[in-house]
Amino acid sequence: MKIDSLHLACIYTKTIFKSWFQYRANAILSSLAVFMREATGIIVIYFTMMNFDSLNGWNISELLFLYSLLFLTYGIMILFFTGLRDFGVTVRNGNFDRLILRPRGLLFQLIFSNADWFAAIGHGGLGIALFIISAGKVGIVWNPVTICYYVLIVIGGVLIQGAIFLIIATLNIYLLQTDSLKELFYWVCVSLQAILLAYSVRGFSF
Amino acid sequence: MMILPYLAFAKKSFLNKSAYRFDHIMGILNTLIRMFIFVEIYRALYGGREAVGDVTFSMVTTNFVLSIGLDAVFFINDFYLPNKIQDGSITTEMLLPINFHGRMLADNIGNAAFMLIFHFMPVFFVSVFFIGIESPASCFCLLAFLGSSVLGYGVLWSISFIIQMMSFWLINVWSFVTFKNVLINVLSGSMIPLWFMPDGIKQIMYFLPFSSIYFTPVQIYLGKLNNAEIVKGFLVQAAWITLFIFLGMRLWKKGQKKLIVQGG
Repeated sequence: MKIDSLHLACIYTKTIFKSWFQYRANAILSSLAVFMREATGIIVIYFTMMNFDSLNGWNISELLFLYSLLFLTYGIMILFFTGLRDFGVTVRNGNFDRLILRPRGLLFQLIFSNADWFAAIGHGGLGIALFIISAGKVGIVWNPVTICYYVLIVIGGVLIQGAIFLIIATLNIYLLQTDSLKELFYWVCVSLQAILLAYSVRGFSF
Repeated sequence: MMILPYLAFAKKSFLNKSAYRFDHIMGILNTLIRMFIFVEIYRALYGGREAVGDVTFSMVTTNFVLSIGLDAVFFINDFYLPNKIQDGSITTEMLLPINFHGRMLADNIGNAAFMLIFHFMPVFFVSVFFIGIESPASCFCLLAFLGSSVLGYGVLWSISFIIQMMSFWLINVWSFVTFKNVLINVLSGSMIPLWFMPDGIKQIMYFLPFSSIYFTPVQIYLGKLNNAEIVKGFLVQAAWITLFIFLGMRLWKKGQKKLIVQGG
């Protein structure tokens, strides 16, 4: 890793931030739209759970807590791995060839050269909102140990999803139209991740 | 009005859909997984009970199979007009000796026909076999269901029509399309059977068009509506379509005069 990498990452981040927030009204509306789109599932679950007490032993607060983890990790993850999510476009329009020619690591460039800020605010904001709603109601005693454990779970969730995006991104080198396959693969992986998260949250001893 | 050019447009979009076969098969798998997930969640929620309130489990599965199946057929490209405005091809479209809205509709219908035959049908047979759904309450109910589905498609199409017309004034309609989809997903019954909605929301839904899209047809299929209510359902659907098309046409007339093309 070159010494100026950090400096380069900072410049990238600044430029990306400026470009995403160039049109302010659009930025606010788009972030809000992502927030609402993702909140749809939560609203549906909330209305559903008004008619039922529990889902296989999980009550509504516990479900919201799990969802908060999913959204929070996605919000952080997308700040780093947008380049992998949109890798198919990069390959198809030839931009990948430009990256190859530069004297820096490919993954470094992919990770730092784009960040979907609207998704980050939308998903992350929803994650934080759900965390605030549910964290006090799931019976977790928040002390230094559980807080460390929570931070580790979040970092793990971010890395797992980043790894899923990396696997899907490499498929684009072999396949042309991968959108449906990507969606399918992504949801299978996210479900698996949700199960993993659920198990790690069980470690909190509900 | 000549119908032939529109048939040609519909045929073109039908054939367009069949180009990516692998992607299509994955799409079918996606719909099936979505259906199975919802049904399994409700199986866990019901936990072996026959009925919750007066809603039986088989009503719930029927609701999901029909509305998620229809949802796949009812795919409407909300960016048909916005994209044409953005890249400037709308100007050529306006010069053509055909009705632009007719062309929009033909394009969507070709698409829907393809999805009905090659997406809905296989998904429907697999889900009837593995999930199981209630049979229609009667032959008449089945026919009324088909009619009501067509009108439901009309309601969905005319909502999209209005949103698309807004692109004359807004540079980026993506966020509005997303807000629209949120309302449709929550209030149309494709993610939560509307019987489970709290009473307050049911009251509000009564004055909104969204339940006319999937829920009215599903209710008719299950025989939950009597003849008078079926007729009322049809009239409500037709009224929404008329209102939205009327508003959309007003926007279209105004928008034409202030069209700004950003690229091309």
